[in-house]
Amino acid sequence: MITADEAGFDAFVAGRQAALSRTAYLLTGDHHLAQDLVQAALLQAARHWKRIHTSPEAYVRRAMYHQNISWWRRRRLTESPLLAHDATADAADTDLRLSLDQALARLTPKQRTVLVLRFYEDLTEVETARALELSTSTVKSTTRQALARLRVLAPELAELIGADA
Amino acid sequence: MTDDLRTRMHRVADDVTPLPVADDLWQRGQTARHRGQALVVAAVLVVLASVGGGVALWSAPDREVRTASAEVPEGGAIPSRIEDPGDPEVATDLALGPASVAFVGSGGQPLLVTAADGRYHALELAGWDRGLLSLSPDGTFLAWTISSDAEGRPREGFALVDLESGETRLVSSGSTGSITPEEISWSPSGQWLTWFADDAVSRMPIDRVGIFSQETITTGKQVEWSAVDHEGNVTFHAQGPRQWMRDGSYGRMKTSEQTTFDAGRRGRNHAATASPAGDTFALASSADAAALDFLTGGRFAGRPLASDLYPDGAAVRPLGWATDTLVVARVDAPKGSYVEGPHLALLTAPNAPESHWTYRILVRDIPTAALSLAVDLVPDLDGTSSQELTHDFGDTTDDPPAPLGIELSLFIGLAVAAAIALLLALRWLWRRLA
Repeated sequence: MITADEAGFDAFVAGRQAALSRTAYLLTGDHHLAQDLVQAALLQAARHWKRIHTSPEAYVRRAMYHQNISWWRRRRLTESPLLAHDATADAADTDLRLSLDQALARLTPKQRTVLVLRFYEDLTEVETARALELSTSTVKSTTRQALARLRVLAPELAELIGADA
Repeated sequence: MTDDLRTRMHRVADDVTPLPVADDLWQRGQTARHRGQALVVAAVLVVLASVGGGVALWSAPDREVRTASAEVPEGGAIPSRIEDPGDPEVATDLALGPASVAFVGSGGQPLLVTAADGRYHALELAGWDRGLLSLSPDGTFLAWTISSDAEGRPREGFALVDLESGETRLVSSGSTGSITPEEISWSPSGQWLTWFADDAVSRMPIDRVGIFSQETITTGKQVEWSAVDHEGNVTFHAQGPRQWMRDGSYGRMKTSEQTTFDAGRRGRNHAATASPAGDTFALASSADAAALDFLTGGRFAGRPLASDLYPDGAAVRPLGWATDTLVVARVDAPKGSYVEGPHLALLTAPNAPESHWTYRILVRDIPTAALSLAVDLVPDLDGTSSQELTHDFGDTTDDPPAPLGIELSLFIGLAVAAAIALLLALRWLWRRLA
């Protein structure tokens, strides 16, 4: 028999699965990792549903942000990079979408998460800081470093990013 | 500027199709939740058990509490093990309370085991000559032979201490001069003492007021043993059994048959104790006899030990009477016996019908030197073979307690390390399963 909690959880998943998938993809840059990220966050939500059922989305998103950074830390310990971290992306690639994907993939998860929260989720610096449990100044500096790095990694994106960023 | 980046990111995101998620997420989440709750409960129990165990270990008022078998019977008990405790602290105050056992340790020091708690106490006995120690049947008096007085001046005789008050008195052993007793014997009530040396026999009432009026007779014949009943009548052996009555009359005991057959096999200086009724006397025997001898009803009677228990014989020495028909004796058995070495036994005297005879081992592997026992502490038999006649007081030496054979400090360290390791393991599991 399906309980009210389970029905509420199912309704939440059905209603917010697409939005969560988009954020997860931007955070990870990989469909498989994004799927794992969404599932892991939803699993946590299912565990603590009684406590979070009034505002589950904020909890799930925060779980995704932290889980992504946590996974990256674990992978960083076990995987060796094949390319220099700051190598310029293929200049011949003229597709901006592809360039943005590739450039984001070369940022650290923290930088990438901050950018996603600031420019995709449209959170303010204060809200971003609260969501990631960082200080506002850390969010500011991380944003600045991330954009600067994007300019180095994908010069063709400079127009998008802007010189003052 | 960054607005373009915002737009471009939305475009990238909009191209993402909804990612499929597993159908059983809810069930898995609930399972993980229940597992987490169980782990929390387990962790709390581990912490509580560790803290509680530690507190119990430290707050136990007496370490016997952790090892003893059951509650000590009222009035105390004979310990189930009598061992040399090594070098216990010397008791300066002899008001230790009733004792269960007195013996001489391997270092030559006199030792006492208190009846209530089974603890060992080394004694500083004034003038002790390393000879006899004799505990009264109720364990409240201890007598010992001396070679000097409290000031160190040479003196022969014996001393007596009231273990309730700690008061000590020196007693000279004869009217014609102080002679160290060859044997001391208590009446079953503990109210009379008799002792002998050479051809003299003495007796003395014991009272707590401290007025000891001793009497001595000289027989002109070598005395081999003496025993006194609760009325002060002394029976002794000097070329035959003789009686010295409380009224002062003295004469050869009327016997129904030849009574000198045993004199050769016992030799000199052997123990004897009178039964509570005063009509039977338990006598020591040599190893060849494999029997405890008795003088009862005017004749000698042997109580042979079972030959299957002691095929090569055993020396038996009476320590006292537990009841009118039960004698506590020390048995020294050679190798190959059912119970080897010196041990304490409870056996029926021949004044009881043979159908009622019993034989119980009380304590095995006892010390060999000058052991004396408070026989009143042996409980009455209830007829079952499972009855505990002694008490396990646990570890009563002054050594630090050693749980599982490990030094206490090391044990606590290991326990704390184990608790930390367990908590870390639980934390790892938690993170792994969460």
